[in-house]
Amino acid sequence: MALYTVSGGTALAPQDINQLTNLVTGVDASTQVTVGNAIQSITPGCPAPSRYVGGTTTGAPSSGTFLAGDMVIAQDGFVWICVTGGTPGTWYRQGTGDYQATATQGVAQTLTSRSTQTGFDVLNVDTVVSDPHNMFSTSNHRFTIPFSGGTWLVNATVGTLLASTTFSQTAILTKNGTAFARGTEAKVVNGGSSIVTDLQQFASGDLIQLAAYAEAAAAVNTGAGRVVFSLCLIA
Amino acid sequence: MALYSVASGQPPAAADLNQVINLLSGASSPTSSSMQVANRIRAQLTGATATSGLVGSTSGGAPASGTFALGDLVVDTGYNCLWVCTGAGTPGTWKRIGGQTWTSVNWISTGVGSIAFPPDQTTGNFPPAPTAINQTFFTRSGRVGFDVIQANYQVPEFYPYLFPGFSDSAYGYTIPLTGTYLVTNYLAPSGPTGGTDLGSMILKNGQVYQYGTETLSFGSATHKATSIVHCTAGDLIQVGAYAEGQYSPTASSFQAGFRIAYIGN
Repeated sequence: MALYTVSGGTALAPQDINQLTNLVTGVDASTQVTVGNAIQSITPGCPAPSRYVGGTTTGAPSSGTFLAGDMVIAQDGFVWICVTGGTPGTWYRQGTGDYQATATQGVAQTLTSRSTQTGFDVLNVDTVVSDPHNMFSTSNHRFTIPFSGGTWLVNATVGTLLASTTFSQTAILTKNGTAFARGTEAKVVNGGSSIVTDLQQFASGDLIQLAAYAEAAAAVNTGAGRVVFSLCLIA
Repeated sequence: MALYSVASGQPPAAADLNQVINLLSGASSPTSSSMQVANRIRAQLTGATATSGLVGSTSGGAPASGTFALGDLVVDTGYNCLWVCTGAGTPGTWKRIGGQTWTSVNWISTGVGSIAFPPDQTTGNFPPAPTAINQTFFTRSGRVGFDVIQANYQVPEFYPYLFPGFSDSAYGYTIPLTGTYLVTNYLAPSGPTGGTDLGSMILKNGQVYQYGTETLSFGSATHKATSIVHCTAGDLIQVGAYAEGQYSPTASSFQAGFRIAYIGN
């Protein structure tokens, strides 16, 4: 049952005290404890104090005064730790929040024949496999990074087809229209598959696309697993 | 000392109330009673603008029963992680934070001979090598079909976080926990002698999920696949190969590594 206050002028009874004792010893399972400030714990072996200070809907606190060691639980699946006290202090995010997405390509596309390792074609990636935070645009063939900070793992495969031809190709990752990572460039016969993997710290709003460089006018292979474009927050 | 209850019929004394106040204010020695609440603990410091709560622990997953609120936090002593409730309900929707990142390597060496460990494993202490497998890769063309690599041995890594769910008869891992996994593999054949197309790939539930490199192989070429795979508990992850030209490795002429790690929700 809910805690009650003792009326002024009333003599204390044992149950007035015991309701508190039962609450803080776990005997009372029906009552939630809510503290209108912070809850601090310090025990032998953990000599520095830390405080649980409440929650946010998303992100670290943007106002209020906090101490190093404060912990906030964000309702979107992250925990934030204050590493430098202040108003509002400096905070680090814990968790990945299911920020992962994968897309593939189902529409035909012919790559431009290129040379001297110059230029690329953006792939018309158009099919979402997994994207719980709606980062991918099927019409624009790109991911939009939802927030700054954090480290992202980006990975992709580009498959091609071109009968009776041996040529060089590679997979490329672009940010805001500029290449930031290239995979191994190797010869393929009648087409083949190339991969690219990179780690990046993106800014909010960055546009991430998959591209290809090919020294022949090869067709993009839209078969299963041949064009796969993924990214995920890892830290 | 432990908190005590005031006996019925006994007039309360100041010490009876102060024991609770001292506990909540930290005036008690840290070595005395801890506070335990059999419900939810909430803090609401100015600036922390939404509700959250500490609600206890589980062992091996988010709560499977009970009713929870947005922002509830659970400590999981089975997966060594935290869970945050992102959708209130019974039991609600949860996202995982941190914890052990299972990682392991599968290993296959075809042909009659001893298992050859990856280069970075040569100084470790490993269990006895299993029986090597002779595996034939069938002739394929037109980018169609594949052979499942018969990964038959899970090599312990440097830390005791051996990935659960490996089957040396299914040649793969059954995913224990829904989430995002990083999967890599490589194929390292000695031969074919050149001009033959060979590709590697990651398989999910028996289907191609993502190709790795498929290029011309000139003798001892290595083929690599890497994939970020969002899996549901129970999914089977394997690796495969596509070869344009029948390739029947002789003794110790083929090696393959297969690694998987949990990397997030």
